[in-house]
Amino acid sequence: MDNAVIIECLSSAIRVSAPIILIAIGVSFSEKAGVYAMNAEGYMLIAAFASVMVTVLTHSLAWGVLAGILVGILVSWIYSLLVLKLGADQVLCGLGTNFAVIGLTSSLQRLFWGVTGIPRIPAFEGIEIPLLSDIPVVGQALFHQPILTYFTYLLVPICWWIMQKSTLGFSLRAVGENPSCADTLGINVFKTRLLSVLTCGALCGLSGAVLALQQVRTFNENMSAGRGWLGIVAAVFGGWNPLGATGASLIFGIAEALQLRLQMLAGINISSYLIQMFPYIIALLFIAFLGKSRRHPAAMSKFYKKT
Amino acid sequence: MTKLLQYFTKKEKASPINTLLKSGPLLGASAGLLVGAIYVLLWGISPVVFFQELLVGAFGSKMAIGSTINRMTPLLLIGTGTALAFKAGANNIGQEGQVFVGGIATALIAHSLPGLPAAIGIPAILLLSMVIGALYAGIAVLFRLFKGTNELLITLLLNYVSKLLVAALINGPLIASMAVSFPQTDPFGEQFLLKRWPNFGYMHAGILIAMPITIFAAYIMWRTPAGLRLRMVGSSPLAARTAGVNTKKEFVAVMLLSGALCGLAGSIEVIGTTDCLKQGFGEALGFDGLAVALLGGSNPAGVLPASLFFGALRVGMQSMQRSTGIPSSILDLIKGCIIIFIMIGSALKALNRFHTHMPL
Repeated sequence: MDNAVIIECLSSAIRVSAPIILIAIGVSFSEKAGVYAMNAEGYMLIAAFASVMVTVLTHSLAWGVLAGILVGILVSWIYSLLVLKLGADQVLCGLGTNFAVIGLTSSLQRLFWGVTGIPRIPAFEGIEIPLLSDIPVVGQALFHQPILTYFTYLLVPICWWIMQKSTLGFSLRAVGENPSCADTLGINVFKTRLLSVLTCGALCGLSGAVLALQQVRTFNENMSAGRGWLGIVAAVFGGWNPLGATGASLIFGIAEALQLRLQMLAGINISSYLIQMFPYIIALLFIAFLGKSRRHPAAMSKFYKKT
Repeated sequence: MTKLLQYFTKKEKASPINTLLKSGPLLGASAGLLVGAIYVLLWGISPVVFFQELLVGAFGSKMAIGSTINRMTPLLLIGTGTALAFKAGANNIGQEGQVFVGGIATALIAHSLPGLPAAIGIPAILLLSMVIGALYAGIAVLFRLFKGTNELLITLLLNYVSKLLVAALINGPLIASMAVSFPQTDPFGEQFLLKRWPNFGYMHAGILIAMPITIFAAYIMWRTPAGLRLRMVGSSPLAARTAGVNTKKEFVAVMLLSGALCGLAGSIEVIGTTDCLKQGFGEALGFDGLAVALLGGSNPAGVLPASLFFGALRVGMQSMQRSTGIPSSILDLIKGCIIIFIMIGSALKALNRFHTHMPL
């Protein structure tokens, strides 16, 4: 392999990891506070749809991204009402949201654009950072990316700090481990959990916008295609810590980038479908080698009602 | 003293909300349908027409009834398997994947041993697909036993794996010898196919396999010691263990059983309906089956009407797409809403009980 291929591969790995990283961090927030985020896939899909639609209507990418985030927050707010107020089953409500979102987006897509398909939308182009992008090999791969990719990687340390170092992060983790104890300490369990679920919705929404406006550059039926689940696995593997989750997501990103390139390389004759299986097999192997030490937050999926 | 006596003998208050909540799944289904009926207003179609089209599409003619029963057949099996798993507290959500591997096993036998007579061939196909389905669910069981990982994620990831496996097979080793527009295998030998009813379209003999299995499962669950153990493990694992039930064994058994039933459903769908293995055969059978199990209250007896409901819904929506142009993907919206509404119902019920049973 020559340099160009390596650069291309590395750069696309970094680009395609971005949505998975955002989901993994979002899921970390939600699950660390003890709320399952089985609907990460749904948040992502509906946000992708909303961002494409708003971009088509306003011709502005910024509004598109904002719409994605807002829709993510809206759906996660509905979910939090069901789960945190009523105490409905988190797993099945999550799956139900996923189904509803698939039905909603694919039928609305038909309603608005018919069979003609979605008009071309503007997309985020790569931005070269001067000086840094001149570093041989790595420079072009790392510092010639669209803006949301930079933003994603910028969010990683911020989220890590919030989760592991700030007071908010502390109460978030406390709520996930022992809500009644946290309650006695004066932490508002409901509000903390609500905040963490909304953060999850916002991040997954952003990830949908990244996927639609920066990677695929249009909307396809069920376009999230399992990325939400990979994000959840990444969060579990990273121990619900934004840094660990990012690391795991990068591995998925590399697998996906390789999958795109592997078919082009001469001499390899595997069914493309088997190559597409790659990330899922890796995800299963992740879990297989995880070890028993990686336990869920103790109050995971437990409904807490103040008495 | 009388107060104390009253307290112990007092029955649950028959408030209107209580009686309403008793019929939770029914309410959930109606609410979900209502969402769909209102949603189609976007296409300029009135809710009345929606229900009319749905009914006519699903039951309007012999062909329509045949299609509904055809769709109901695998749903019965998947719903029963899922209901057993859910009742025992095993979170199998990999029905989709188990259906696909059942289909793969069928195609492999039918194409590798084309000379088999029907009397051996069909039972062999059904049995092997059950075994393969059980083994596929068994992967999640291994993870649970040795790693303590929840089966939710594993079974879900396996869905994607087996879907891609089907695609790899029908585009690779098993590709049809004649050029066809849609990737699929060659049709199976005539002797492997299930008999169709005359005049009833796609209705096939699979219902004669599925229906007894569902009824038998209901019998097992409610009238045998094995069923009691299963329900105990689901409602309180700790109490079950104290009573001497081997919860691990129950978990393994019920997961394998639900995998086997899903594999069987995939096989029956392939030899009954499509007559070959094709991409995404059965169109979302697995998750429809999951919704069937929930609508049936995780009870095989409830799965009977629930599978008829979802079979009719799918067939009705497809015919509506043909006649009015409303995309049948609205079905996913209705399905999701039904699941969410049922969950809201059971949550309200729990909260309600929580209030009424609090002493003093």
